[in-house]
Amino acid sequence: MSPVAGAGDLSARGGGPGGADHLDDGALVRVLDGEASKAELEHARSCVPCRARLGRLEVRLHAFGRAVAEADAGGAEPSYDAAFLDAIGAPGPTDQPAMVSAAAKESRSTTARRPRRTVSLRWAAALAILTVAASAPPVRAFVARAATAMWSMVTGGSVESPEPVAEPIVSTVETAVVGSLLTVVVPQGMTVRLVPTEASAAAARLSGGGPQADLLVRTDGFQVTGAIGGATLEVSVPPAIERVRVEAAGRMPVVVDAPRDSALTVERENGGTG
Amino acid sequence: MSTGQDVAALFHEHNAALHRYLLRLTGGDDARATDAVQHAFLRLLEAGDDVRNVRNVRAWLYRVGTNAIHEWTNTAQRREDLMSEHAHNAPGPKAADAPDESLERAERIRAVRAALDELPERDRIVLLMREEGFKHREIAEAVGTTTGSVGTLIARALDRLAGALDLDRAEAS
Repeated sequence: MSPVAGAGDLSARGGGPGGADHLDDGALVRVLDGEASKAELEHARSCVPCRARLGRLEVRLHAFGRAVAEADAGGAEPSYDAAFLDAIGAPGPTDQPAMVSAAAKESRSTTARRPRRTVSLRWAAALAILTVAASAPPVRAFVARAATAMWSMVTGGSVESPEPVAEPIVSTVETAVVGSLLTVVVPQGMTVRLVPTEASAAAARLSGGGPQADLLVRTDGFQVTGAIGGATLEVSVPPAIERVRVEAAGRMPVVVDAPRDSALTVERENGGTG
Repeated sequence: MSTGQDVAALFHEHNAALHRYLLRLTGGDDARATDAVQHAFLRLLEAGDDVRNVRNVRAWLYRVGTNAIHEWTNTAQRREDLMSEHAHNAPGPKAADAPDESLERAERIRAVRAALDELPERDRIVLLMREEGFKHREIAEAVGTTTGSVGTLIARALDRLAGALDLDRAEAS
């Protein structure tokens, strides 16, 4: 591992574009868990390849969490020995099922919608600070112009006139912007709508049907990973959101800094654009 | 700390999550998971006032439970039991499930447990403790490594699981 120039204690690995160093996988986990150094956070914030890898790692971690939670579901609740419960002064066998059941329910529901530790909060807060620092108006204007051009290349159309989404809304999720991280699976052909709400919250709506994709909503933007072939993705950017990231089918990610109050629409074939 | 009342309160607070973690760690072995929970809380009771020096009782309980599983797993008899019991550990189908759905679900559960079982024990502990929300420092203390290496262990364990559990499915489909 070799450090990025000026990056302090950054754990990185070489071989990136142009010989640049990048965060190793362990550092990416630390970023996601809110245990990264300032240098690692700064690198994660500014390096597109590392952010792409960060997204993939995040998807893996969520998929793992879902898998083990699913394996838990329906399992028998523990049945402790009466002598043990007596010894520790816990309620006896008569009261045990209700007590354990309540605790188990609380514990499982905590896991199911776990606000992923305070990790994301810390990471998000750090990124938010960095976002503000990196968003001087000239820079933001340049990025917005570049993003608009990039988006037009992808869509072949204008970003100014999104098509209305006709499908009925089948699922709605809403999350506070600060520190929230949310993953929803978007089936084949589904339409994803990210709807602006009040400044302190972001909302995401899904409708229709399509390929598997993960939609992540967090402080610094929205991230859609996975194939979105055949789907329409409409993004309306809430006031508090600075960035929108779209990754498709493992190909080159398209990163868009969306100007506020804009709406973006993209229609693409599965894997047709990389 | 270690009076019956305090231990009872800690038991009420932590037993379900600790049991869930140990159940995952053992590949769904409810008997061993339950035994390990009891073992951890009895150790807490026995520790008496010494436990007042424990900075983080929750992490201590997980470490004692994990060590108990580790010790039991290392006996030949427990290993044989595990082999014979493992196939029967998946929860039965829910009554409301259609037969195909039940089979599919049971197969997914079996696959998750088998994949976890294939991991080196340290990797399994690291991943599952992270899933319980422990900090890297706490995980490092539990498995006897440095805080800085926990992220690498987690990433490596995920790499090993990715194929078996189709963790990249959302990206690859």
